[in-house]
Amino acid sequence: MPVLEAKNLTLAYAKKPVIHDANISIRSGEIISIIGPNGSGKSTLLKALCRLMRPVQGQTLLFGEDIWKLPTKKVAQVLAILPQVKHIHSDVTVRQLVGFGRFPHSRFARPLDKKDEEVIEEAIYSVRLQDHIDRFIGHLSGGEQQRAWIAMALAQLPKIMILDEPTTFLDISHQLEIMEMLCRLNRDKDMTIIMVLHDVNQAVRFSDKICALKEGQIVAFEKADEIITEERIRELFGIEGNIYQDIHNARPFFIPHRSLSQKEGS
Amino acid sequence: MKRVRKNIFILFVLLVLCIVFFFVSIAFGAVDIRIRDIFDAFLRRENTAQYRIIVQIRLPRTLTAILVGAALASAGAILQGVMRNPLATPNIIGVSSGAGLTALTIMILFPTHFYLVPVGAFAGALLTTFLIYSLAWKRGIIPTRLILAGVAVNSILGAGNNILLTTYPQRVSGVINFMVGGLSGCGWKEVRMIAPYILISLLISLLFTQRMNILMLGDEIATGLGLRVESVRRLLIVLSSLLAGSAVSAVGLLGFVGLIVPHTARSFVGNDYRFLFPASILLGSLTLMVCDLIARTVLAPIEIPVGVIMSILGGPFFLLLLRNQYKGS
Repeated sequence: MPVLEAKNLTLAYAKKPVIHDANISIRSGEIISIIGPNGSGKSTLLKALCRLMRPVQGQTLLFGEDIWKLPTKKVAQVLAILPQVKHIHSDVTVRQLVGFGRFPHSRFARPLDKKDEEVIEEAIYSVRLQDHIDRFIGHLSGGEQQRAWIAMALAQLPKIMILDEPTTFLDISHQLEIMEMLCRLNRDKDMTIIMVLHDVNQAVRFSDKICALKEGQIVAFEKADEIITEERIRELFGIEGNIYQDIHNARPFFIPHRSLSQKEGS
Repeated sequence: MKRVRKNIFILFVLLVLCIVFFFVSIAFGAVDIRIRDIFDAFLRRENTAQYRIIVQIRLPRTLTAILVGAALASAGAILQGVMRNPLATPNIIGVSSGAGLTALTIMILFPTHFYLVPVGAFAGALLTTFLIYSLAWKRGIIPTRLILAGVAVNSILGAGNNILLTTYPQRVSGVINFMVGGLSGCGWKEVRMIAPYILISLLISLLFTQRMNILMLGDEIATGLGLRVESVRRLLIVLSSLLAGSAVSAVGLLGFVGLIVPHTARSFVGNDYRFLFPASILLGSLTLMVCDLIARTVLAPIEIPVGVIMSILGGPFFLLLLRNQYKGS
């Protein structure tokens, strides 16, 4: 049975359709990346998968049940979300932020108990922030902050983690660090990971399957090493380039040559 | 962990100061009373002049100050959190002017029904809240839209107030105390009227401090953590207008407390609502007791409305606080 499934999803902002009739089925333990040009509906699709946006038509099924009919707290016990837009006061400590991840498992107005503390510390340990546990979020670097947010999601003890562009705004070493960390979580905890990524090569390298979106339609949902071809990149992004083989990682990668949309001018 | 201990200490200090000023506030006034006599009055309950001053005038007035200060400060703290906006206070988003308009209407147009003022103010606050809420509602509430709707409604209600004041100039003097906000004449009637609403709202809000913290992380994160964002926000908005409405019904348009007290409390204990909320309650009570004490004594026997003292002292203090904060960051 798929852990998460979109059935005939149609999504719209103020009656303007963004996603038409999308179907996608995600199995346990997979790493899925959603790629596509700006405005193709990547984030919108992601939001519908994690009940941040109500579909106009169709359903999102979490373990076979309509996600909108489940109590939101129950959903949060198996599915964690890391959106792009996050607000936080700079004087929240790492421990406190990660502690929020225990909310879905807490009883009304009951303080955290010993078991919660253990989960929190383990989550902080698994993103390697144990030396910063009592530091303020505002005093951490961008990469460390992102890791702290991931630890918060981990403290929910989810089976599925959904991330919207987890590497945006980070430099290349921190990007790599985050992606490797997600792969490790996927491997060690058998966690299903679904994310939107901007960088096609990053998506190909770290995902099992890739969902390619264009103008609100899913144009392909295939294994990561098969999905990118020169024609598909041209079709999706309007750029010409070549595919090479990265022998070290045994994955293809793409080097762009020129943008087709600027052809007439030059 | 060190910060937790520091914050608990600060809350303790605020509580002690509140208790101290409770007695100071009863002791000082047109007639000065020794602290020992206050205890005597409570213990012996003899019907002397001093006993009557303490029990029938000073005590209810001080209690009103405590309740109103706590209510306005906590309403401000809730709204600032729920809206994620430092400017969101009951008087800026129109809740107070809603209470004010109904109260003024009764006072000016139906002066014989003066006893309806508290109930009217209360209803005005709630009605305004629901009006703003429904104006800003569109598949959920966006905080910015709610604040902007509130500011617009505030200005419409303000115009209503001004129409009343300019068409009935001969009756204005009677309502000035209400307009600037004052505690003079507050007795047991006011205490009995507002105490249940304020105490119950405060108790419920105290159970929601961790949810306020989560709400501060943004709607998407909060939803991801399993918080029912819309219903929690709606409940908190209703609680804050109950608090603000009760306060306005007893003392009039005393606005500034709701803005400066939560911000000052923030600079003491930080942004964690588990500490910020109780700190705002205590600091609100303390501030209003101190300002009322000054209002009663500085030009005695003339009494200055507490709202005036509040602005004269609170304004510069707040500016100083802002300046230091910017230096710090």
